[in-house]
This record gives sequence, C-alpha cells and structure tokens, in this order.
Amino acid sequence: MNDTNGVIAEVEDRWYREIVEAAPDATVMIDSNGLIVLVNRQTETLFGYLRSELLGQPVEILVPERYRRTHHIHRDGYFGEPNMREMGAGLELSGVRKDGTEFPVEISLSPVRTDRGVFATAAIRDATARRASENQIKNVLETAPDAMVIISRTGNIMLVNAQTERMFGYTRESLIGRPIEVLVPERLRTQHIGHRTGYFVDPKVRGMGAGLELSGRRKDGSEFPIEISLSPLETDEGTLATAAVRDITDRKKSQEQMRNLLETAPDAMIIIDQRGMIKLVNAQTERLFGFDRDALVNQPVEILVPVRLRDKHVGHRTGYFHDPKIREMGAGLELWGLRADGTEFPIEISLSPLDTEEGRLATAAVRDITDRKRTQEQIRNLLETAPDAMVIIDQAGVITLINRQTERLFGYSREQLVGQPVEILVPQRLREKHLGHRRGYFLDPKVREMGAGLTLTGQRRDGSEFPIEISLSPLVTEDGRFATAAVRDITERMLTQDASLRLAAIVESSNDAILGKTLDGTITSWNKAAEDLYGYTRLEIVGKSIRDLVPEAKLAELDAIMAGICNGAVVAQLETNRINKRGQLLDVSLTISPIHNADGVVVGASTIARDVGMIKKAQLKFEALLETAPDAMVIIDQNGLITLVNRQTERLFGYRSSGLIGKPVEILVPERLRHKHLGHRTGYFVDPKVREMGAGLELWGRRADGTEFPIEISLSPLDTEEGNFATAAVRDITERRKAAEQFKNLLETAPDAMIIIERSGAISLVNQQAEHLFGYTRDEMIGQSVEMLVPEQLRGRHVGHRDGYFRDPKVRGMGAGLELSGRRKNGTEFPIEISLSPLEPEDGRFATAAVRDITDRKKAQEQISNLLETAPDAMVIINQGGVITLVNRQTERLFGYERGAMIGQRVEILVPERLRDVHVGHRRGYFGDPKVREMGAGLELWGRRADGSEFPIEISLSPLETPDGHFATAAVRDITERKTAQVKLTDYARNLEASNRELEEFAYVASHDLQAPLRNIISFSELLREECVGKIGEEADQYFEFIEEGAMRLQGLIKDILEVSRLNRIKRSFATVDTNECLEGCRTQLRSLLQDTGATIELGVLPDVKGDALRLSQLFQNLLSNAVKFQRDGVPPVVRIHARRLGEFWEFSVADNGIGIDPEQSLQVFEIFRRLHTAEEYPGSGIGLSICKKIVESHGGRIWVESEPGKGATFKFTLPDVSTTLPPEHDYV
Amino acid sequence: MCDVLIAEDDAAALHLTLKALKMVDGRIRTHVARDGAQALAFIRRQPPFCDAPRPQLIVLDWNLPKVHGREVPVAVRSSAATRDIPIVVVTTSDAEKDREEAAHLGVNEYFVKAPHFRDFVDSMRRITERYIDGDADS
Repeated sequence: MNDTNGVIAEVEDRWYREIVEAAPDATVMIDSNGLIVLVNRQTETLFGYLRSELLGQPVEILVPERYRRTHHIHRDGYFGEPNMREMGAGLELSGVRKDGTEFPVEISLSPVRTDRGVFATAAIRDATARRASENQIKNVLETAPDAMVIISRTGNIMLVNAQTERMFGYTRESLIGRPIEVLVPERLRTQHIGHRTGYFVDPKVRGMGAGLELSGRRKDGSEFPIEISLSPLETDEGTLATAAVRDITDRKKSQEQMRNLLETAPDAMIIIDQRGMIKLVNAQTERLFGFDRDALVNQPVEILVPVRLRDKHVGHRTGYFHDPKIREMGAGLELWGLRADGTEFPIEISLSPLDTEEGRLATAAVRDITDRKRTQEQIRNLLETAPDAMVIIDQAGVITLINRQTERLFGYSREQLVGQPVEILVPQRLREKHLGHRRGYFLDPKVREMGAGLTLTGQRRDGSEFPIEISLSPLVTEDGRFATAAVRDITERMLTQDASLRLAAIVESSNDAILGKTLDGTITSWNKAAEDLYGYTRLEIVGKSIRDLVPEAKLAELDAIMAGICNGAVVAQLETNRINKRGQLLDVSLTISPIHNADGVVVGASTIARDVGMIKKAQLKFEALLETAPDAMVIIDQNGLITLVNRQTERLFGYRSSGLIGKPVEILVPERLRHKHLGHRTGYFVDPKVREMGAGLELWGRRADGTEFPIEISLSPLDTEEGNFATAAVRDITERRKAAEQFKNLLETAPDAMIIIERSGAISLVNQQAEHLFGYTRDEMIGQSVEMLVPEQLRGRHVGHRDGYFRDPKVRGMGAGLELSGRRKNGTEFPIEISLSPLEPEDGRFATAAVRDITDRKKAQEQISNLLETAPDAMVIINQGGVITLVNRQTERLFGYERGAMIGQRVEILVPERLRDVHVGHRRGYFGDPKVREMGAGLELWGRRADGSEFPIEISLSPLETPDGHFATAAVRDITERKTAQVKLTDYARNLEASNRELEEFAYVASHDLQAPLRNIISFSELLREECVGKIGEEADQYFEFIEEGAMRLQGLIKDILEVSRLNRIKRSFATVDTNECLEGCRTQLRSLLQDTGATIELGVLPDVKGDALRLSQLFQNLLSNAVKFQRDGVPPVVRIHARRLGEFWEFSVADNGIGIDPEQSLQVFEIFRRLHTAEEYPGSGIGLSICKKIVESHGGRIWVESEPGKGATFKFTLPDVSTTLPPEHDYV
Repeated sequence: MCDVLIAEDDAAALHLTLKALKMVDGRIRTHVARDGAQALAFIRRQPPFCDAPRPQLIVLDWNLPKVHGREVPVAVRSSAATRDIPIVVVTTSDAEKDREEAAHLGVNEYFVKAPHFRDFVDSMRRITERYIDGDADS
C-alpha cells in the first residue's frame, strides 16, 4: 500500500468516526462474537456508560437480562445473513441503562465488511416518545366513538378498534387481514373497490363518496347507513388509509323525520347553502311558488324573488351567512315572492341557520301574507277614514303612520309628521312628561286612556293648543312594538269614554316551536324553539307522549284534534294551553297538520306552537293581586328601579303607573332623604328579609306634585327567575299622625288623668291631670312601672290584671266591681276608677288608662248607702238592664236572700215566675220614660221570696242618674197586712154600699109613697078649714093650723129626704156645666118663692165649671132659696151671685141681705138637720146646707159662709174649672 | 063646652081634682076613669063609654092600676082621631124617669100635685087656660 491510500484511508477512517461520533443515534459496533468494539458519544449518553466500560463487553450488556438469550440468537442470526434492516420488526425492543432502568429502543442494523471480518453496526434510537405516542394513538383509536378501520393500499384491514367490532359484529381477529369489502354490502362492493383504488391514487382527508348513500354490512348480513371519513396514514410500509365509519341510522331517521316535517310544514321551507343554492324545498314551497321541486333544487334562491329585488336579496343573503341567527329577514321591508307564472305576492320570511357537515345552511320559512296584507290594507283604510286622528308611533316615539284626520287636526301634512317624534304634537311644556308617559306605556302597553284625569293638550302646526282625549292600544307587528293613539279634539264636545277605534293586535313571536308526533301522541321530533318553550331537551322528550305537555282540561281537545288529523284536517292557530317542564301553564297557539307517509296514509302530526301569553298571564295574575292590595305596592329590582306598582300607588303618590315604572324608586322619596334611602335600599338587598323598613325612623313619601306625607313601609323579598326584587307595601300614615296629634291634645286636656302604658307596664305617656292627681311630675312617671301609682298591697294583683289585659285588650272598665285605689306621691291613697282601652289594637302594644278620682263619688255613694241601708222599705236599685246593683238590709229581710245572692241578678228573681215577662216589659217601659211614680198602678203586684212564697207588694219607682248610667230605685213595701185590711175594707165598703143602696131605695120609696097621703092631709085640711071657718070655734082654726103645719113639716122633711136620696142614687157624671143656665133653671123653679118674697137676683158673669149639672142645680137652688128665705123684716131680699178664678177653681159667692149668721155658728150651719131657727121663724128642714156641703165637696171644692148678724150672709164655695182634673174618689158621697 | 077626662085612682086625689076644676070653671064637664083600662075605653069609645065625647083635655095620674097611665098617651097619640088631645100628667111622682118617659110618649105637661090646695087650683087654672080656651097647643 502506498501512503496516499493510507492517508485516504486515514482520512476516511477519521471522517467516518466523526460521523459516527456525531450521530444522533447511539451507534454500537460489534464483532461477530457480539463484543462491542465501537461506541459513540450518544451511546454513552443513552445507556449511561463510559465507553471504556462498554468496549470489549458483550453487547448483551445493553439488553435487559430476560432478553439476552433471545438477543444472542438474533445476533447470531443476523451475522448469518447480514443485511440492512430493522431489527426484530414488530417486536418490542428494550434497552437497559447502566443504572438498570429500561427503555424501548429501535434498532437499525447494517453490516460492516472489513479485512478484519464482518462487523455489525447498530443504530439505536430511544423509542420512548414514539412508543408513547404510538400507544396514545392506539388508545384514541381504540376508544374512538366511530369505527376506525385502517386498510392497506390493497384494501386489507390492518387495524380495527373496539367500535368497529361492535358496529359490524366481528371480532378484531376475524377482520384483520381481510379485505375491507367484507364490511360493504355485496352489491356495492365493486363500486367500493373503485372508490378505494381511486382514493389511494390521490389520498386526502375527505369524506368518502360525499352525497352517495353509503351502507355498511354487519356480520349478520344486516345493513345500515354509514358515513365515512378517510385520511391517509404514511407508514414505512407505505400509505395506509384510516377510515372513520359512523353509523348514521339515527341521523338518517331524524333526517327522514325532519324531511317529513319540512315536507308537511304549512309554511314553505327552503334550505339554501352559503352560495344561495336551494338544497331542499318542501311541498308547500312547490305549491306556493308554483314550481316543481326539481326545478328549484340547486337553483339560486333568487329565482323566487322578483327581478327588481334580486340584487338586494343577494346582499341580504350574504350578510346573513356572515352573522347567522334565528331572525326575521329584512324586518320592515316589503318582501315579495315571485311565482313560476311570474305573479308576485307578499311574503314573510323567518330564517334560522342550519349547520351540517356539508357546511352552513340556512332554513327559510316563507309565508304568504297576501291575506294579512289585505287585512293590513283594510286596517289602513279604516285608519285613513277614521273620524279621530290616528297616530301610530314606534317604541322610540317616532310617528310611523297617521291618517287624514291627523293632518287636518294638527295642520300638518303627512310627510311633515311621519318620521318625527310624536312630541311635535305636544305643547313644549308638556313634552318631557309626555316622553315619560310614552316610555312608561311601552313598558306596560295596554288598551287604555292616556293620562286619565289630566288635561291633555295638543299643539297644532301654527302653535295653537287645544284640549284632546287620547285612547291608546298596543300594536305588536312583525316590525316591533307600536302604540296606536286615537286623538280626539274635545274642544267643543264632551269627553266620551269610547275609543274611536281599536285595532286588533296581532301578536307574533319570531321563534316558532316545531314538534312532531305519532298518531298516538308519541313525540318524535323537537326543535330548539320547542326546547325553549317547553323546557324539555330533545333527549328528555322524544319518545315521551305529547299528553305530558297537555293540561287535563285540554286532553279531550287534543284527542279531537288528533282524530281530525287522521282525516287530514289541519288545525290553524288554535288557542289552547300546554304545560312546560316546570309545570307552568302556557298559553299557546297551535297550528297542527297531518304527516303522511309515502303511501299518503296519515302517520302522525306536526305542530307549530307559539307562546302567546305565558308571561302576560302570570303578570296579569300577579298584577291582580297587587291591584287589590289596600296598601300601595311598589316592586323594585335590585337596582332600585320600579318594575311594578298598583293602583293604590298611583293614587297615593299621584302618578300614573307609566310615570313610575322604570324609574328609580327614589322619585317617591323627598329629595333630602334620597341619599339615605339609597343606602337603606342597597342594604336591604344584601340581606333581604320580610321586615318593616326603617323602624322608628320618620319615613316620608313625596307625591308627584311635590307634597310630602308621612308613610310606613313593610318590605319583603321577591325572588323570580328574572332576579331578586323587593316588594314594598306603603301606607299613608297622615291620618294616623293627625289622629296621634289630636289624641295628644285630647289627652293633655282631658278631665281625667290619662296614662298610657306599654305591655311591660312602663308608663310611656301621661297628661297634666295625671300629674295633678298623683302629685308626680311627668318626668317622675315616664319610664317607671305603672305600679308606682298603686298602693303597695295591691301591686302584685295589679301586675296580674295588667298582663291579663294585654292578652285580651278591649275597651272596658278595669277591675269592675273591685275597689281600686291610687297612691299619691305623698303616700296617701284614694279611691279611683279606671277605664282601659287598647292603643294600636292590632298588636296591643299599649293601653290607655283613664283614671278618675272618685273620692267624692264614694262619699256620696256612702251617704246613699247609709240612707238605703236604714230605709224602712226594701230598696232595690237596678240598672237599665234590670240587674240588681244594690239592695239594703230590708230587702234581705223581706225577700229572704243574702245581699250577695241578689246583686248581679236580674230583678225578676224577686218576681213570681208567671209575672216575670210582664215585669220585664214594665221595666223596659219605665226606663223609656222614667218618672217618680207608682209601678203598675192598679195592678196586683207580687213579690217572691227566696223560699218561693209570694206576698203582695207595692212599689215606688224613681229614676237615678249616675255617671255610671241610668238606674231605677224601687222602694218595695210588703202590703200583706194592708191588703188584708184593704180586702176587709173593700168588703166593708161593699157591704156598706149595698146597705146604703137598700136604705136609699127604701128612703125613696117610702118618701114617695108618703107624698100622696101627706098631700091629702094638707089639701083636705085646707078645704075643711074653708068649709068650717067660723063654724067650729076659734080653737078649731088653731087646730087646723097645727095640722097643716105638721103636714107641711112632714112634707118638707120628705122632700129633703127624697132630695138627698135622689142625689145619692143618681151617679155623678161630670161634664161642663154652664152655671148661668143652672141659675136660670133655679130661678124658674123658685119663681113663686121669688115672686112672693119680692126678691131680686143679681148675677155676675158666671163661668163654666166641671160638675154634675143636676147636683149643681140643687146646690144653687138651696142656696138661693136660703138667701131669700132668711130675709130681714121689711127688707126685700136682694141676692148677688158672683164668681172669680182661684187657681184651678172658681170661687162663687151668693150674697144676701138677710138676717145674717153669727160667725161662731158659721161651721155648724152645714151640719145636717142643724137649724139655727125655729120652724116658726123660718121654715126648712135643716138639710139644705148639709146637702150643699156634700155637693160642693164631691166636686172637690169647699164651702163656707162669711157673715155677721144683721148684715146678711155671703155663702162662698169653690167649684173646679172645666180643665181641672179631679182626683178619683169613691162613688158614695 | 068642654069635656075633660080625669084618670085618677085615689078617691081623695080625685075629689081634690074635681073640686079644683070646678073652682076654675064650673062649665067644664068632667069625666072620670078610675084606672087605665077605663081611661083607654073612654078614649076609644068602648064600653062602658060608648057614648063618650071627645075630651078636650086629659088629666092623667101616672101610676094607675090595671093598665098603667103610660098607655094613655100611647093610645091617644096613635089614633088620628085622638092625636091632638092634650094630655097633662098630674102626679105625685117626681121621678125623673117618669117625667122623661111621659115626655117621650107625648104628654104635653107633667107636674107634681102641689100639697097646698090653693097652689093646686092655680095649676089647674093654668092648664085649662092653656089647653082649653082657644086652640089646643100641640
């Protein structure tokens, strides 16, 4: 060898060494004996040895012990046929480090032929990482939800995962190595092979056979639709393909359903892709637009749009895909559809995005709104021709529509108004308020009068103003919320309550819930809007029965609908109820149509449901509750904004609810207190509880007009899905305050001591009189226990009374019946009377005691008590209710009861049972007209003793007024003895009467019968005398005289007796008697006497009297005849009769000029048969005056005589005036 | 010439009446009935008074036996022929009820026999003057 070769060899040798040294892999060269002859740095690093430790060692040192023998064999085998290859392909190779740790390795071998023999160089790579990731991948593969099949170029299955086994029903082993077509239905296998080979020509990540129907075939031969994703997998063995296979049976099914739904939906459903190509239409689309589905699919959707609108539509469309949402398309714009025949019709479109594997799609639900437009037209016409000005504004207050009348009324042209804020029609000063009203209205839109009670003013273009009346109604359209105002100029006319027009509101929601069900009601499909509406997720509800969503009351309706569905009937916009997941009742509007299968048989129904009133209903219910609350109810949210108020609030604060809602609640609070209120409010939400707000503080409310008034507030938290709220019940306590003021005044000036105590007995308030009465100053009393005013020995009991009172507080006297005493500061005690009444009766927190010093009364009572006690009669005092309140000793003795047994009882216990009812009546009657009188005059009164025995009584009643009320005092006397005596007396009297009557009869008869013979005696004696005059002798004359005189006297007596008896016999009857007439009669009767005596009668003016005419005649006659009879010799009698008034009587005087009467005998003359003169002197029986006396006295009068001998006599007597009431007398006079 | 019927049962009283009438006017023709029945018969011209003249005055005692005096005015007033004959009751009874009854039955006057004969004659005179001379009062 020459040097150059050696140098080159050397250089080659060095270069090779450096390569080896720098190799990233560990390089180990071994000889044919397996001894390590060369290692590189990487080997040192990888295995952790120094090269010196390795050189010359058998390579097995780097192999885990358990593999060493196998490795040995491999090694030998390699050297047997050395070539460049992977070592132990497929096997798990491991290396072991110096420290004994193992790690997976990958080894590439290559032989090195040298003169010294064959060596093997192994390039060793730490395969830890790769192994790990290989494992990961393996895991992923294993656990993938899809079936993963890795095939070779030739189509052999290299690898499958668990899912593949499951999906196809094979074991792994039975698949690996088999051609992939085993998983493909026979008829498709050829096609598949083609696809497969085609794939390997250009392997890419893609869906396989996109658009084609792919099917898989299970081991049992059954088929199922699948979807396959392919991706190439580069390996050393070449390109493999990984197929991810998905079972799309369900999806296909739901796709079917979806297709059906779509197909049968009442609206035209068009699905377009991002480029605007129609991918799918339903039957309704065909019908609506007049195209066949084939003519539409894969056409740009613009073919359904009128030419002039196409460009714009494209813009909308692209814009939509930029930001796809469920929404109305082109809100506010006029949308038009173009039919196949070129005709146009107005439409409405709802869009919703649809993401598929093929990319983003959009579903458009198109509705023909020709009719609706027509209605709108009609409405527009109505509007136009309405007599009132109709102004429609949107939520921002911008005028969107007006009618002719508006132009006329306000003096603007249409163009000048549309697009302007409605406040342009409102006077400047009212604009801000109107703004508020308007906003408030949109918050709570209802058909109502606006600003009822306020004077509303409109402003014309020329600036002039005029009074108006406005009716509002909400108008919800596809374009949003509006308000329609009907404005009437009421300058000339009276305000009327009728709104001029009501527009029907069309409530629409922009998201429709769509669900499908079988004929028996099993829910088969469910969209997002349905999830939102009902609260059930698809998973939860599909397969369940629709009946779960239907309230009991509507089940029958449902059955009817489904029955109709079977016959192909369609239910449009049925208002009914459903129940959501939470159990809440929903108001929905349903459109239900049948689902047909391919054969045209109805197999189910599709329902489009709209929520039409869920929130509103609940709100209404809640509002109703609120409305009827007596207090003002204000509901605020966590930010203090008023969300709801009731009518009471409006009234109390002077706002319309529209002016309050949305405002911070502080507008109801006086400015100076707002800051503090804010604090309170936030504090409340931190710890919300049912409680009084600001207890003890002075709370004030502020009305709309700025005036303030004191209030009381109760708070309670209100949790809703919409967040935390607080409900405040506000009460106007102005009156209470006023009352409190009044009360304070009343209290101070009350005549009684007023003491207000708390439940604990502490004195909280006293008045002047209390200070005066008890001798303490106010300060000495307030805060102290009320027992300080009570004598020590009574304190304990008093506490008990007090507690008892607070337990059952009522207005009443305290300790009725008990002796109450008060104790002054100086220690003296005095009797008191207390009236209690609760203060704030709801919680009985306080009690007011009115205390009265009854020392005087007690004294008076004592006096009365004494009087009563010692009275000889039984004294019973009863109250208005007939209850005995007091009796005396005599009562006890008389009735045989103890005092205690009578007091408190009804007085009727002292009355025999049979008379009790009547007694009650008398009693009541007495209290109706209390007077001092006898009770039950004339009735038999009886008392009943305790032992049941009865006895006759006499009762005197007198009313008794006390501060405690009306009483009656009855003095009861036992009249048993008197009665007996009375009975005796009555008997006696009766007997007497009887005998008197007999006597009178006798006297009458006797007298009468005596008359005739007497007359004979007299008359014949006279005749005889005339015949015999001078014939018999002088003495005979005298005899005749004696006879006649005797007979005369007898006759006189008889006449008197007859008179007396006549007077007695005839019953007196009092009437009005004209004494003049009477005297005239007498004059006539006494005519002869008067003539004979030459008497003159002078009469004064004589009155009418009450009396018995007959007897009065007798009286006058007697007096007259007397007056004339007793004449003075030679003096013709002159009789003067006069009368004068004397109280209730008339005093008559009969004055004569006769002989007069000795004053000492003036009384005797009235005695019966008493004669002052002999019969020779003056004839007369002597009965006359006694009869006069009887007569006068029976008239209740008196008779006497005033006279002097020789000076005539004046007889005076009194007779009652016609109006006088005479006391009753016995009949026999 | 006038006829006067006197109805009186008591002989003494009758005597007095006749005497008084005679003293008043001797031309008066007096007829006597001793009881009520006779009085009625006279008025009715029944036996034994079939030839009785029509009296121009009846002086009647009230308490007559057989038939009570009250029947006389009843009978007198009930017949057209006798209706106008004046009846004067002269009696001892001063009873109110008798007076009333007599008045009701249509007697013209009623007075009590005065015990003094002179007075009695006066009253008879008054009666005859009133009822006999001239036209009879009703």
